[in-house]
Amino acid sequence: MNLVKAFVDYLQGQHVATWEQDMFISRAPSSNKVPNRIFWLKAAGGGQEGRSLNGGSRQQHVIEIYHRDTSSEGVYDTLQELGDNLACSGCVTLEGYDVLGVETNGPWTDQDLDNEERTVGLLQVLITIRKEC
Amino acid sequence: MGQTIKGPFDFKYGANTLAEIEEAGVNYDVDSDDVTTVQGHSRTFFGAHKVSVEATFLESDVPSLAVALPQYYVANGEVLSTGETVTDAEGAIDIVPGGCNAAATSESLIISSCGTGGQVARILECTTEFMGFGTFDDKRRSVKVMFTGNSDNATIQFFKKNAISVVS
Repeated sequence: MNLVKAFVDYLQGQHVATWEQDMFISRAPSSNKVPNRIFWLKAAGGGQEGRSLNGGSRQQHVIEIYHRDTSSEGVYDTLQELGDNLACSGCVTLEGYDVLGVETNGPWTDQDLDNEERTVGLLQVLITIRKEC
Repeated sequence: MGQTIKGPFDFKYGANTLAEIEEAGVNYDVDSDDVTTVQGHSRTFFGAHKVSVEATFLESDVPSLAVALPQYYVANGEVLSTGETVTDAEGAIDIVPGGCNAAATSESLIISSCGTGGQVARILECTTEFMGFGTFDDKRRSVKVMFTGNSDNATIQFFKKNAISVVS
């Protein structure tokens, strides 16, 4: 399972949203098919933090969580609360990954270019994992 | 033409593989005396050699530390220095300085470079000691262990993997 999907499963377990109903990967489906209030996650790169002498590495991956809704303040509040929960989540467990830490940047909000009645927000999540080789 | 010895490296203490090592600082000291003669010459006399390796363990759970610090390992069912009985199969580590019952063990520290044609650096008859913590932050805890060579023979040997026979 890739890291983004593992993180989707984690968010679903935290009752943030439901995979393939109001939470998606890579892009938001057409507005005709899904409600206004949805989340979608995108992989946004990352880098290596360090290596062990045995060849293992510590990698930081960036996942962007996008959220849209008709209430601009609601979008910001939702993402701020999600960021706070991730920061205070203690040991985050992602299936198949040894997670060392989770940090967040943001959130940011802006008008949805596809629908002027909606606001889109962004929360960047930085997940540090240990990769043993 | 020579070759650069490249990582990643495997670390063994005796026959046991050591856990993920974040970094290893190798210290090799040679005593020396400088003597000058009335003829105006300076001579250096080399004496005792000492070798030690301070390894920072990224994996610092009980089973990982038990391999490097066997003298401090308390098995399941045995009693800690504070009187509690260990009730987990993994056991516990009880760092008791200079304990009367601490059994000093001595094994070679074997550092092998990668690949089938890799090179080995072997530090003979090392005792180990707990040297505190490396990183201890929100992401990880690492532990430092010092391996000190105590051999009456060579301090350190270099050879290609599988290039030496077993002592008969």
